[in-house]
Amino acid sequence: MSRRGQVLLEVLLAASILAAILVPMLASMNHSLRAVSVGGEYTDALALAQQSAEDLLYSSFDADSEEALHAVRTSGPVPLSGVDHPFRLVLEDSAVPWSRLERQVDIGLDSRAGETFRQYEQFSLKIESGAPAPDGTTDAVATLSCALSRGRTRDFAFPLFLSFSAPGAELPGEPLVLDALAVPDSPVFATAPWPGHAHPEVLRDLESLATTTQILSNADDATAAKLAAARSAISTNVDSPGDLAALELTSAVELERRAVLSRAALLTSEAPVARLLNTLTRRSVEGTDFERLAVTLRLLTLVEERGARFHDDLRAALAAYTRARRALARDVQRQRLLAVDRKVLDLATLRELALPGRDDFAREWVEFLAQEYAGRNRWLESQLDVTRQLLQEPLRLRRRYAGAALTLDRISKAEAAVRALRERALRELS
Amino acid sequence: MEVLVACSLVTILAGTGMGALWWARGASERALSPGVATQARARRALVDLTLEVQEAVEIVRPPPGATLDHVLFRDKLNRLVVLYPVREGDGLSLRAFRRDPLSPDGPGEDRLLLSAVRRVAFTSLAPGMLQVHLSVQEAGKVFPLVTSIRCRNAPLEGDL
Repeated sequence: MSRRGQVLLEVLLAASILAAILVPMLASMNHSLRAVSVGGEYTDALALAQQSAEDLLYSSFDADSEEALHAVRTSGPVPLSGVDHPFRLVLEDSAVPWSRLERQVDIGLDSRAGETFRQYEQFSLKIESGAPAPDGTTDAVATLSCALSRGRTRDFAFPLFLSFSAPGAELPGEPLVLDALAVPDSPVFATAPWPGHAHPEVLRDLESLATTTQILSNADDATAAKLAAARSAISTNVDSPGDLAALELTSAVELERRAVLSRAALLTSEAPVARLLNTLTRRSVEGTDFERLAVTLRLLTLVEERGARFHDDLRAALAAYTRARRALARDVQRQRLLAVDRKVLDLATLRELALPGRDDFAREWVEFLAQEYAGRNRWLESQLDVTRQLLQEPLRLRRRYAGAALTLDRISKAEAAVRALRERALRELS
Repeated sequence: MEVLVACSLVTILAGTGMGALWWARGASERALSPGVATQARARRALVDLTLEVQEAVEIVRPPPGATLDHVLFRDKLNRLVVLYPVREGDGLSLRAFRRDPLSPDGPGEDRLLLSAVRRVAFTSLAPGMLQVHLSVQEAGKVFPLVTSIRCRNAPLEGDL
């Protein structure tokens, strides 16, 4: 072999040795680079899937979530970027006419949404299965899976189990017998069970609740001051004139309109009380004037009626909701039952404020809910703890329901004035 | 001599290639941690937002059908809550202001919900339903999330 041939052989040998060493190393590096890239995609997909799972759980409290869940469950992997996606309707008002969302005009989850669209267009979601819970209740357990596609499709399946109330789920166990918890002297609670789905009846009763709410909001005569204080406090935390202008605009346009309306309602509703108090003051030092006394008595009667209406409204609202509760416990969804239970809790607490110590309905209701939802709803359990403390501390209860307490004070004052004036009128007339 | 030159050239080329790969992997790994942290922050912020907004009785702003960068609502205890962005460097921070009419302690409570926000938009899809579009950023990584929140205390159409 010539010298040239030997050199060529040596070079080939050296190159082969280097290649034998370097190629696996390069392949390993390339593999680890790809692994890091896939890991990044995996965490993206996991974050999106977890967020979707939380959305599903939260939306299981919604009235329209059942349809969405059903649609997602039956249609296989669904890209979340679709405008018509039943689960995730995404629209932003971005064009005239303002305050009106229009598909194809305002920003949806399409290319105009920029990074958000680029993220969600790669992500599709489906609920793999819905099955009854193993404990025999009608709650459904679903497995969520998702796919994230970047360049080439990679499917990531996540063992995310969701437990939510299936459509038409019934509350396990016997319906609540409200009579056992009812206020002893209230005939409303002893009425016959709600016949089927008598919605109009309940809606009629709920109109009373609207009246109660109006009374409570009327009593809140510091609305304008509160809003002004809030606006002032907010403006101290805003950095730029632009932000400030936006917040000022919010207050000026909407909040002050509400404040003015609230104040007007207050003046309208409180006018008889103010006139009554003025008249009372004058009458206490003046002599008998039957005509003015008659006017005063009419005004006082109005106030007294208003006070009676407050208690009636409260009682009617409680009755409506407890009747609704009884029906919901039989054949409607659990999430609505929870909403009604919370309404009854609020109203029972308010009733305890209006008629302190009259009965133990509020306390019994708290304990009933604590038993009913034990270990199932941590948020409600914390609310029950707060309510327990409020019921034990009347002053704290008054502070929490300050508007209602003010109204009740006025009612008590008016009732006392009615009694005193009637006695005086009777004395003078006799 | 030729062997040495050849080996040197191959080594330089291979070293450069490996260095490039090494750098790329390091960059990807470095980007991974902020990315995961950004995702975690975004999700936690959305949970916070959800918990706040769910207590609303009435969403005052934005009105139904409108989109704003802030939301103002009244909760069931008649507290006024505003979630609003404030400029912070190149990005935004999201703050929550809560005005409790019953509290004697000053005008209200203001707290930071989330910093390093790139974009936030609140859309009122219907009375009692709010869509939140939030993008957070960290170390060049942007993570956007969209969610819809139903106010549990707001009356639902057709409820009962």
